[in-house]
Amino acid sequence: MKITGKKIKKSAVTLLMIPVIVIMVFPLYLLVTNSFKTIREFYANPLSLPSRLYLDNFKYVLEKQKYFSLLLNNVIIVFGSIALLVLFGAMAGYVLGRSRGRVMRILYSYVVLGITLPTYTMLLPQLKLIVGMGLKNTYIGIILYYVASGMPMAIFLFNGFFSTAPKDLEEAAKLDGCSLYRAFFQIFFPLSVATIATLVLIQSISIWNDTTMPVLLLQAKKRTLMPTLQNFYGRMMGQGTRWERIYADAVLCMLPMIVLFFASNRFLIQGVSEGALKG
Amino acid sequence: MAKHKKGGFAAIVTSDKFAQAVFLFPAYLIFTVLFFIPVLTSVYYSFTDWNGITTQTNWVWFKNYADMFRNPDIFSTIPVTIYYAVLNSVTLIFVAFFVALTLNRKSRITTVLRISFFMPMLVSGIIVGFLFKEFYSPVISDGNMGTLNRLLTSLGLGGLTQNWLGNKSTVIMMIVITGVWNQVGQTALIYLANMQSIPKELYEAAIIDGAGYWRQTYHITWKLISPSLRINLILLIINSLKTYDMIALLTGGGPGTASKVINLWIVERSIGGYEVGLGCAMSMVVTIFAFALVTVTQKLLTKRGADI
Amino acid sequence: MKTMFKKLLAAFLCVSFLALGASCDGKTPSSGNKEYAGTNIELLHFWVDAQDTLEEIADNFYDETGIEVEVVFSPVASHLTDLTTRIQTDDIPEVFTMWPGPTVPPYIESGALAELTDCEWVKRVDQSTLDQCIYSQSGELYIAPVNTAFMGLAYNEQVFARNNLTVPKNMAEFEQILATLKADTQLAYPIIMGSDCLANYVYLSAISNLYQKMPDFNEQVNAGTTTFANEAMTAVYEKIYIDWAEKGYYNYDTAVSTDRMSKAAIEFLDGNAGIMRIGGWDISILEELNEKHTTYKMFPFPAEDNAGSVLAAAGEAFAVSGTATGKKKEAAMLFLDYLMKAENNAKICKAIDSLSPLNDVSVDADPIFASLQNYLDQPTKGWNTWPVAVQNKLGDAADIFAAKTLEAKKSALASFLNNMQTIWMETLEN
Repeated sequence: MKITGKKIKKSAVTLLMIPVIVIMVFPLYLLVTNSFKTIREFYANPLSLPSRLYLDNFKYVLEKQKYFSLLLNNVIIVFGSIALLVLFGAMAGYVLGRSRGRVMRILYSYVVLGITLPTYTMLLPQLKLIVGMGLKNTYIGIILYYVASGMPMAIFLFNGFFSTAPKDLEEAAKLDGCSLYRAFFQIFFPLSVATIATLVLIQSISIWNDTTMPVLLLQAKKRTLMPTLQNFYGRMMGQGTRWERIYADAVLCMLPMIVLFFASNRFLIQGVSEGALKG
Repeated sequence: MAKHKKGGFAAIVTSDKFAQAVFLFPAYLIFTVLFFIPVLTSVYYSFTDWNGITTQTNWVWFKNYADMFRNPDIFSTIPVTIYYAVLNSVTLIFVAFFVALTLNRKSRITTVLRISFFMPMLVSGIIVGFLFKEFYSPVISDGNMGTLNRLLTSLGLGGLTQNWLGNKSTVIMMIVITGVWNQVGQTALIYLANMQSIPKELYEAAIIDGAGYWRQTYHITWKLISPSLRINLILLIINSLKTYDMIALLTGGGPGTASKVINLWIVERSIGGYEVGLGCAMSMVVTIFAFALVTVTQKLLTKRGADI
Repeated sequence: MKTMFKKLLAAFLCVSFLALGASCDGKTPSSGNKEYAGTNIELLHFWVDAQDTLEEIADNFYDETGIEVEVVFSPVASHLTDLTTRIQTDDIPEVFTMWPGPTVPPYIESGALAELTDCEWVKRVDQSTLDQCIYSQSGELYIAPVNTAFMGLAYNEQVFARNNLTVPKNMAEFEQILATLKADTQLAYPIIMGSDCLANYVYLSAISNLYQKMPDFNEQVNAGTTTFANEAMTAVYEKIYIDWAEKGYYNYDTAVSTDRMSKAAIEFLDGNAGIMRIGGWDISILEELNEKHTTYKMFPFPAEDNAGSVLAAAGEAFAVSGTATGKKKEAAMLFLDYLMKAENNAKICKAIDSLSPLNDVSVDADPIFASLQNYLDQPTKGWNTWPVAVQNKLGDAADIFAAKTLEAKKSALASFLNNMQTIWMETLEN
């Protein structure tokens, strides 16, 4: 009796979850289906499945831009920024998390307070600096910008992880005569996979999705995918906006990231959720 | 080591202090140059009348700060910002908790559930804006209406149709719902990581004591997720105060000023209005406010017994 | 982990190859012996419709001079931000587009714009358009007007024919038309409103009604002999914001939203509305959506006792970077002269469905708006001559719709107009 009761309860919860899944997926369903419709079909019924396989929106969008070359830019910028951010963030977070003292606490607050600053405040000075260093229209300029902006979050997360990592590990390493370098790269860095996964997840999404900096810092040929969305606003947002084309472009902009997301699902989501993030 | 008794080059390089400096250097160099110096620069701008393009500026002391408090337009943005930030953070804190609870249970649809909750966080603010602007758009004629209104009509609830984003009483609610859809995955993910670190034995002991699911949830799960609750609260408060893209696209601050949060005002003044000095002064005030709010939250949560 | 890495690497390589393939096209210089060969400049513009035309002009220019011009499109939505940040970072494009208006003086002050007063083409610009482009007391010119913008009402010819209607000759006739169309059961609304239309609507009526009664309205408000809330103004607002809304002549509850343009256009083109307010810049959007080949034409917003007038404001302008030097500067000035040549200006105006401010250019105007040329009026009238702070508050009139009763609407209107008066006076004091 008890077992069947439990089973019924479990299936009831499962059934209850189905409408929730529908609600969560529904906006994405709209995004994808409506990108296969003509504008009149879209206005007439945005909820239905497309009546036929209408590919003109995608054709239009692909004709207007060099999709693959922009995608390559995206990949270079995201991978470059994330690699530097993870490496430098982990190194600094390790030192901060493993040592005590006033200086370290001040150094920690100095960076982490950056999380509270609204990005728009520093936009102009940041631009001026990057241009002043002759890094306008270079990958390295924008990569350094993303590394700097992501650093507070990286140090916040890594410091949290390393300050709770078991103490005996370090002592063992010390006994073996390991230098700080070897202790970090051979023991602690590999240990922080979960934190790395969290950081990669959060930061790669926000870098991939950024539409402000690429426009201001890079010329059209070096830009990423997301800023292309504004080419389909029409004259202005709302003045003749062709939603079906924007949706087609949005699908194309998100597609590589969704593929990456699924390919790395095990590494990212599992990594984050099973590795136990501590703060 | 013995060869370099007085601290030769190799000894310095391998010393802990030096190694620490090497580890800190790249992160702090990049951060200081591209983040901290710009912050100082914008503090400086907040004391000048710089319009954003001229080369000469005048030092005006606290004029921008004083102007800010004399400006009636800004006072209308403060309640909107607070209302939005509080509603958004509180809703997400609780919704995401229940989402994480659900994801934490093993069942046949766990994978589907995970994917459906984590997918929306891949969608950028700008695409969310495009998607939901059309979704909430009003009825123009019988054959031409927004998706939500169409949905209501086809469910026989035609009486409920309205101009969701054009109505002062619904607009903030709609923006919050949009934000919840977009951010719930990220917030839940942080909870989930924490929940999985709670020792299984605690639950087993509770079951032996005869505690039901909800009692276990309240007495064990809810009490032991303080670390992630803290991270989530801080991130949510800050992100709510920072939100710009989504609101700018959805409503642009309208109708009237019903959804004009302070960030919209700052960008409008500094870019469109050529008052970079004023915009910077305003940003400083927002930053101090956010910092105060975060500190208070920290204090409150520490009282709650969070092990930091 | 390892397989994932391999997958990623494979994907990365695929993408790299595709990208290499995609990026393999360069321009081969055809004329290398010109004085400016090897000089390259940038044209930053905001006309989504004119990209091809501008590229064609740039190609011809390259063949003549050897100067390479990169034509870069920057969407209207981000153009100003883009331009402002490029000025702030000393990276101004050699030639760029601008809107005449309050953005120009700070640009001049910052030295971002080169002086154009002595250019050869200045003599060919229509005087009243030129006046609008001069922002200094001493009369120096910094921007080159490209086109004149106009607005009017588009009407569906089939709908008008069905109801035996003709173009109205005054306001009374226009209201008669609206009443007739309201009775036509095939229509959702007599007039359909796209985005930002109500401010524009008042803009049209202000020039047509208000300024005909009170040509010196601005001066009178400045002098204090009348107020913003004067009788003529109140009548204009009452008619459009209260009377017509009550009668259901247009979609007032959705007109204040900001993304209605393409939806309204489809309603209009598909015959669900008889009239739509459009500007010249909207025509290309309408034409792209006009799958059923609906025929429509334009007429001006009528005034109390005549067929009204069309405000021909200086629409958009070119500017040359004030910080460019040497060959780049000379090349930029040469290119501006080339753009202002009659044939090239005509091409641009045609591409953006506009009229030209140059005396020797006659644009092959689209029949849709050709008739509007008969009503062109002095551009020194209209809300674009009001103080900027007042212009920024025009949208507040939407509050009138939110009021439930007729009484409440009238008091909302009164407080709106009084507020505008207060703001106007405040700007005078400063």
